[in-house]
Amino acid sequence: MTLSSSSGTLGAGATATVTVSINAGANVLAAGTYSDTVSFTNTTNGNGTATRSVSLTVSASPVLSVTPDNRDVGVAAGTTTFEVANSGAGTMDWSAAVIAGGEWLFIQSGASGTNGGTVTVGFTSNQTAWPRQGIVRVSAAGAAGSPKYVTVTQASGSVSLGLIGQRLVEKAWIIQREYGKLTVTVDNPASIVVDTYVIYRNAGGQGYQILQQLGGSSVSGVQWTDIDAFLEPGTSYTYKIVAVDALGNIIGESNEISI
Amino acid sequence: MKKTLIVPAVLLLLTMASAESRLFVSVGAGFMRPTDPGFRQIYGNQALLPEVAAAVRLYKGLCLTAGVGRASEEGMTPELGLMTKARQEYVSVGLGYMLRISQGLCADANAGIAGMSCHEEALGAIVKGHGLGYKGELGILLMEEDGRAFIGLRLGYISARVSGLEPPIAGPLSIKLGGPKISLCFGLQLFGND
Repeated sequence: MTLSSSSGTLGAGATATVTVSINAGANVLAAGTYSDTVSFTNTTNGNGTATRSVSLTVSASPVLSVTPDNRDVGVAAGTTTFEVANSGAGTMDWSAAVIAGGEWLFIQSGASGTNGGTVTVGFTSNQTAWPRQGIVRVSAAGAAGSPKYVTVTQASGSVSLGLIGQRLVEKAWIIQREYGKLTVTVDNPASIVVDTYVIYRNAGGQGYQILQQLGGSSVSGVQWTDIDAFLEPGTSYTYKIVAVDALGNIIGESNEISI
Repeated sequence: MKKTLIVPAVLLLLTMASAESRLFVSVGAGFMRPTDPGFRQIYGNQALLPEVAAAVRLYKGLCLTAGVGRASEEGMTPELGLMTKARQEYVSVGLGYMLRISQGLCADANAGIAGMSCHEEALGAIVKGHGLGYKGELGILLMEEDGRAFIGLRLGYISARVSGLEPPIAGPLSIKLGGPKISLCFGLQLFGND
């Protein structure tokens, strides 16, 4: 408590008002009743000395609790949940909203409730090669600990490439030439957008050079082939293929194959 | 090969024709079934064969004959589906015999040597070759009343082998050129009076 004044002088017939107020210390008080006494003492002659009782009742208030603080989720689309609870007393109305990552994260159900509840958050597949994080804010007016921020962290996607090579011969009538047939197997469970597939070739140990660049949209299916026409007899060729996103980042690389 | 055969043949024919011999010139078109299975696999079982032929009568029905022809075809490689081109050409000289069966009907036969060449453009490469072979023909000609123009049907066979094709661009080391052929021709008699 805080008194507006703790001493003073009064003339005959005069009055003064002392205001008793609660201070910041009351904020940390647990629920309950707190009592004290204010004493007014006539320091001149003691006449009229008196006491007054004061009491403070601290009522229990709602406390917002959301668990867990973060959910780690996989690359594929799906849902995850957060539990909302009122760990205090009284009634607590709350609501949840996505405040970051709204392009891939959304409240599927449980966007609002009273006291306890479950917030179900949906997310799309991560079609980038990088992890990403979205934020959900849970607010409860008048509740301690509000608002509460929880996060959803989604793993990065990846493109797995398998490469098989064959050295074959193509024949016309008189002319025949050797060529390479490359079979590429693509495992892209998150449907990451591949901007370009770059095929590298190392001819005769001279170092890798770009053989061909294929637009990611120009090939389809989990398996496709590419032809390297033509090969010099007696020369060994080594190949690898790399998947690149629109920013030029490598998001997948195959094994090397020699033919 | 072509020049070494054509130039002397033409000169000889003109010399003899100008000496009041009778010169027959014909153009024709027909089909040849190439002997080489590799050619047929890529370019089909028959090739269009335009021809030009000439004959100079030496004595009675005996003639000195010459001819040229070219078969050009386009095809696709079996696995990669790439466009290919090939041709077979021949230049021939030989002896023939013309037998007049009736006023408007004449049969002829001729045989001789043929210089043949081949050319293929495929898979980013070009291969050429040539070889010496033979050619034989049998024909029947329908002649105009005055004998100056004729049309005919000729069956023949032409063959040569080309060897020494260098690997690795050339798959086979030797190939066969030519094959049986059939053609329709239209011809004129020049420098003659009867």
